[in-house]
Amino acid sequence: MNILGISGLYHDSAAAITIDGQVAAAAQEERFTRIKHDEKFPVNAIKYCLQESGLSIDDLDAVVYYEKPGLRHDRYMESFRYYAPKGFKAFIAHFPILTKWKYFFKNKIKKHLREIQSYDESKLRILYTEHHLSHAAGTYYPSGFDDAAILTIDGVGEYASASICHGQGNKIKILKELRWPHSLGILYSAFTQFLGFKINNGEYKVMGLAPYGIVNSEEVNRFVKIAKEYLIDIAEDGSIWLNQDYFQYATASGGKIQVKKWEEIFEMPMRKQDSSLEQVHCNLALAIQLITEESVLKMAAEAKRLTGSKNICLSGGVALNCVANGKLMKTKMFDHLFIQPASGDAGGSLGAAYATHYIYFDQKLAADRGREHVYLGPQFQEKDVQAVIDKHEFGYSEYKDDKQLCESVAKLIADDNVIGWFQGRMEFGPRALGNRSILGNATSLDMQRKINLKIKFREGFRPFAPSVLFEDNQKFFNIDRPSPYMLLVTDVQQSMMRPLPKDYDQMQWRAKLDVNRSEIQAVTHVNFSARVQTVTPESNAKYYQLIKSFRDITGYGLLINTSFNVRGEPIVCTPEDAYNCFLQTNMDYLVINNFLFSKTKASVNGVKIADFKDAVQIHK
Amino acid sequence: MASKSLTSKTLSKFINNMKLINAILSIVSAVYYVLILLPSSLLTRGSEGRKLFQFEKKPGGTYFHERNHEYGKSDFEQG
Repeated sequence: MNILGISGLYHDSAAAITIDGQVAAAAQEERFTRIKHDEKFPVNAIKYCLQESGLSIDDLDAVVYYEKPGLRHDRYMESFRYYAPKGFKAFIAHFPILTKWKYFFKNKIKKHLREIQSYDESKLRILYTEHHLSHAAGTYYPSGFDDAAILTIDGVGEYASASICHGQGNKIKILKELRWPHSLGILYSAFTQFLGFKINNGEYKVMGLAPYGIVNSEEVNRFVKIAKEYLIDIAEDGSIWLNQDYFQYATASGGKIQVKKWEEIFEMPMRKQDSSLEQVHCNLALAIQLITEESVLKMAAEAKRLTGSKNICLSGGVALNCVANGKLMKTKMFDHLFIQPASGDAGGSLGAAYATHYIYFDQKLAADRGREHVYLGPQFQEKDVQAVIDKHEFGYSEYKDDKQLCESVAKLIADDNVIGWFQGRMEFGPRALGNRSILGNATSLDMQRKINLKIKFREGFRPFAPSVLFEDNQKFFNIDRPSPYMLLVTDVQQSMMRPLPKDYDQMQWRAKLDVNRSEIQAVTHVNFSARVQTVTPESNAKYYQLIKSFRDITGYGLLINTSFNVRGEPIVCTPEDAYNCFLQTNMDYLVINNFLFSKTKASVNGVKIADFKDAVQIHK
Repeated sequence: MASKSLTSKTLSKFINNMKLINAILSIVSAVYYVLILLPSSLLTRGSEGRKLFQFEKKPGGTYFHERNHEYGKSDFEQG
């Protein structure tokens, strides 16, 4: 069975192909178009998936879209009908498109596929899955479990914003769902907006800001109380109710909240984008994080009660909230936990393909399913790298042997150089996991600030995550299981912590960043948490070799790992993207496959440059 | 005079840039909204809409909807 799954047209378009239940290729459209969160029909991603899997459109048994445009249309219509006369403008903006999609969506898919290659339209089978079934299937089938509770939570699909399902064998049964307009994902986005970050983009920043909030402080407690009094009710089973008097997403495009009303209840102005962040913003971020965790943990308990399963699978945008995931892990409510690494809507393409294979075509669970979850994107050969070298005329060293390369790069990292590391197949999902990564020395005191400000050009407060050798994991972190996808936040071990100043808890939030608080300072957040990626030879052999070489030199089997991109851009896809990113930042070295490049020998438009500062000037 | 010319130019540019199909769809949408959606809203607001959107807080209750549905082949065919 060859199945093409497609997601997108709202945000984060993507495509995935499964062959006999194994994923052959998956990629996000943004990586090809270089437009972050690109929502357009994923023509480029589909082209790549077909090419990688060696299939033509005629070879496909089905093309499946990750949600039902007709149901989405109906939900919008019912929403507009209820709220009328509010929402007139939004109705005019949405009605034509949604109606066209409801009745002519198959034509749209066929038209875009024709742009890719010619095919026999009479044989093409186009299917649809419910949005939350796509998420559920995308996490259950590759989990390796044959019985699991499945919890999906995001903004909204057709009607549902969260669901509890039970996966048994090749079947998925949906037990309960939370429906629009009540949505934990939207609530988190609403706070993201009030804190001055972009919706569908800044949620990570809110999560990264929350640890700067003062735990159990009067202000945090007050914010939680206000939110529960005016905005949200959390039931014992984790389901939520949002007071629509304080929101506007049901009737207006763009913003989620009634800004003036929020300003009144929280007694503070909405933060303007790029204005300064204060302690009060950190405390508000902590408040919404606590509310989210409460709801997620209660929903998980309800899933346990309903299914009795010892396993749980998570997906949907809220499943990318690694802090909530980490807390769920610590409860030991479930023996095993699997989180789809591409839990956002991009992963819906993969889930739709899995659901079609196992449910629509009623295929038995493959014994070795879920062999590969992440490294599903394009890879590039020596000739591709050579083409970039020829074009840009920059100097390089080529290593014939992986071990030698890793030893050289490890030494550079130990000397506090920052490395762009580009290897093998690109990751699918929002995390760079050692194939499109920027790497640095986790023990360096000012590395966090350096990478944030001089390389990623992003807010200095944002934390970095460690990639750690699996066998060294518990030396540094309080975690008892693999975390291969960087989706669990846990505590740094006491033994790594340095003595803190007595007034640490009362310090100004930014000042905490400068406190020498840990032996692995650059990956220890101010509340001594870390978002861990464990690495094994099986998960990523070359990356494992590199970290091991670093341990041989320094005694520390871990590195800073952050995605290979700069603020506002998608993660790099091709060697050319990597080179451009390398030149536009203060990164010290670039490694593509076994080629090591340094800035000192780089050139821009044929002009040899001595160091990065000159390069920046040439670009300007 | 200059201001009139500028207004006329802007208007002309706007009309030229606007796709006719979008304009027609917007007009159709507006007519649909006023003649069908708004009256139907007034009739159903108290019943279906309220049930669907759960406007009332239910202390001690649940906001989940029961589905209890095992997905099968037929769930994939209708968009």
